[in-house]
Amino acid sequence: MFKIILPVFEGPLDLLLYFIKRDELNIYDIPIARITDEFLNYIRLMQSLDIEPASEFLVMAATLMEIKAKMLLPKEKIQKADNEQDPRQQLVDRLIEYQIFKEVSNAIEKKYNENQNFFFRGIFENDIQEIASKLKTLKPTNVLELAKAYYFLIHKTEDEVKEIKINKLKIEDGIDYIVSIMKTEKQVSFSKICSGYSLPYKILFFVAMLELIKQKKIYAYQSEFQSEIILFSTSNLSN
Amino acid sequence: MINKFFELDKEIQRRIVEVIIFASEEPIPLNKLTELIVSNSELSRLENTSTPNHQSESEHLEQYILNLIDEIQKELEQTQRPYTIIEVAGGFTFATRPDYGKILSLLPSFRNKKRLTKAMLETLAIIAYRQPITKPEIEEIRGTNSSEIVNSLLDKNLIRIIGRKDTPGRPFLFATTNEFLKLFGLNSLDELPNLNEIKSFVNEKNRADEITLKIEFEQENKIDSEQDATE
Repeated sequence: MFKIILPVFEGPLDLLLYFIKRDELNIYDIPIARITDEFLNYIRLMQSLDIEPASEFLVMAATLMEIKAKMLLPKEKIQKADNEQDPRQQLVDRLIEYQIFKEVSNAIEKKYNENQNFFFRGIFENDIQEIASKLKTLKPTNVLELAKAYYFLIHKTEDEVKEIKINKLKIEDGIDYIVSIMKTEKQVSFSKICSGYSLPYKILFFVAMLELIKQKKIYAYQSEFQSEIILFSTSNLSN
Repeated sequence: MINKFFELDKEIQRRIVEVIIFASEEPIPLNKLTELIVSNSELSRLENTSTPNHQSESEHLEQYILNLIDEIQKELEQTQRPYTIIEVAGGFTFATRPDYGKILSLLPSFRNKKRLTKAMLETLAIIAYRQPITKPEIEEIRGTNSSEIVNSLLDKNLIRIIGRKDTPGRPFLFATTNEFLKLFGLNSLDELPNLNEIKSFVNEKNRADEITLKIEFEQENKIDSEQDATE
């Protein structure tokens, strides 16, 4: 096992500033080829450690290579293009601006540390809220939640109450019914069994018929597809 | 409004000022405090009797209240109260004395409560000086994605959304809160470290580095050429 300590960088600009400081480079005259190599090495190091470099590092790598390419162009050509800037200028400006804000954040951190031990009234409020949310009686809420609750309340009362009738149909009842008919008639059509009954009963009788066929108490006959089903009783029926 | 405030005993006057500051949830500005104490009728009566200049009169009253606060602060110190009245975020409020605040910071629920990471401080600094500012503008300066940091600063109530910018995408505009001022012990944003001073400090440092590098470079060249000459 080995341990690698990598300094934490807040992004590609931070990394570049680190290189500049470490190698005592002149920020106004960055050796672009050298720093590009350093930067790419760092990205490769990240990749070798299975750290996916954030896209902004890749963008910066591309920017550096673009600048490097521009710097390689013969100088006279650049001068001809009227007053073209040093290709590094934009990067330098960004680096310096970032440097300034790093310095500023140090200054306000000092302020923050000086002020660390001033506490104001009401600092326990968050704890109280936490306890309340744990009790689940006083949940912090917002207007949206309130509106939602109201909406559901209104729409609930608008709905009329519907009664759901449960037809307790049992296959046994269907079987009993078919058997009772078939005891008197040896041969009966399925439509005759169903006549006068609603759809749920028709389904019930169909299932009951299948069950009886399975039990070999009856057998069914159909002359062709979708034609009338004729049921015949067998000797097993009366048992 | 308190009737005949100025005819009351000074001791009572101090207690009244103290109780108003105590009852106020947020730091209470001096002018608001004065307004609460001095009734309009009394103000007009005072104006009639003394100088007709309204501005100087209310300033005079504010100074009077300020003196009372100063006296309360001295009392609190003399009686060794663990708290005092401080001026922060544009008003007066009670706060712990730092020595005793340390004790509070040892309590488990205080640990790491408002701890700020480097990235947070950086982002806060950018927002504090450039407000109102959008997230893309923050990211432009930092050179890195800042969504999570901005969100956690919002969570900590150190920044807030004050509107949208009239640019494509209408991004949110962020600004610092009073909570930010309180946490950093600032009375107003004017008390932030001077940006121009920091700017010139950074530039001077960069220039100084440049000069030393140039000198070093020239010296090296000189040595090289001298060596060449001797060879």
